[in-house]
Amino acid sequence: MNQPIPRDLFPGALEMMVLQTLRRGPRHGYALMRDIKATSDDLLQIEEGSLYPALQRMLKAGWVNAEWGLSARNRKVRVYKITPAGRKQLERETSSFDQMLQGIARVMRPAES
Amino acid sequence: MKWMINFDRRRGLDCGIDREVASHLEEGTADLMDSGMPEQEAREKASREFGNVRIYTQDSREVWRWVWLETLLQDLRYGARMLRRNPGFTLVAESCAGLDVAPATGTRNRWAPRGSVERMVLRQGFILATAGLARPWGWRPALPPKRP
Repeated sequence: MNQPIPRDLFPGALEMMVLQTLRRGPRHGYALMRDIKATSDDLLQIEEGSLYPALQRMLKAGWVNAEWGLSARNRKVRVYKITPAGRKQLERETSSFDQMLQGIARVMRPAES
Repeated sequence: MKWMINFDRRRGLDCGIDREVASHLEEGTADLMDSGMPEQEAREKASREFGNVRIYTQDSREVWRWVWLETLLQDLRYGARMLRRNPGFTLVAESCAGLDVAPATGTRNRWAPRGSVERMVLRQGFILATAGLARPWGWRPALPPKRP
């Protein structure tokens, strides 16, 4: 079996995936990471810790807000929730990401003619 | 005084990040143990998947480090803009402050010594009088927008 080559995400990619995951409902940090990993079938090589500076940046930008709560295992966790500004940001990010993907795809697979 | 509130919020977050990371590692360990891994091994694996705790908590705090300064500068810019827009109010505010400071810096003031009732009455009277005068120069209460 081939080992995937570890590769950094582009700037803003983690934030985009966090917002997308939070759109399905509020989550604490560990649950967020677990969901992102599960949804991506572990294809993404993300160090879990990198989530926390990203969450602080998103709190500062007002894309998410946070409240202390308890996890299913009764541990004290901060639960994050997407804000209306976060939803707008996600829309913007998603469309610019689609554009970028299309651009890369066109360069990698030039029209056969 | 938004920056003071921000300062408080920042401290709250500062205290929280260690607790948050600890919970993350505990949850990860518990998940691995649920799948049958021995505790020590689970702890090590959870910590490996998390990465460098010190770097990530530091980076998280760093996000808020200069926020108080940013908001303070924002407030100052806003204040300066308001003063420029209302020259009448600026004039009055400046003269009130001047009137306050000038006698306070003088050493011999028998006329109305510092802290006396006369001094307080004089000051209040002057502030009220000048606040009244300021209006014609453009310091007016905001009017509701005109309907078309």
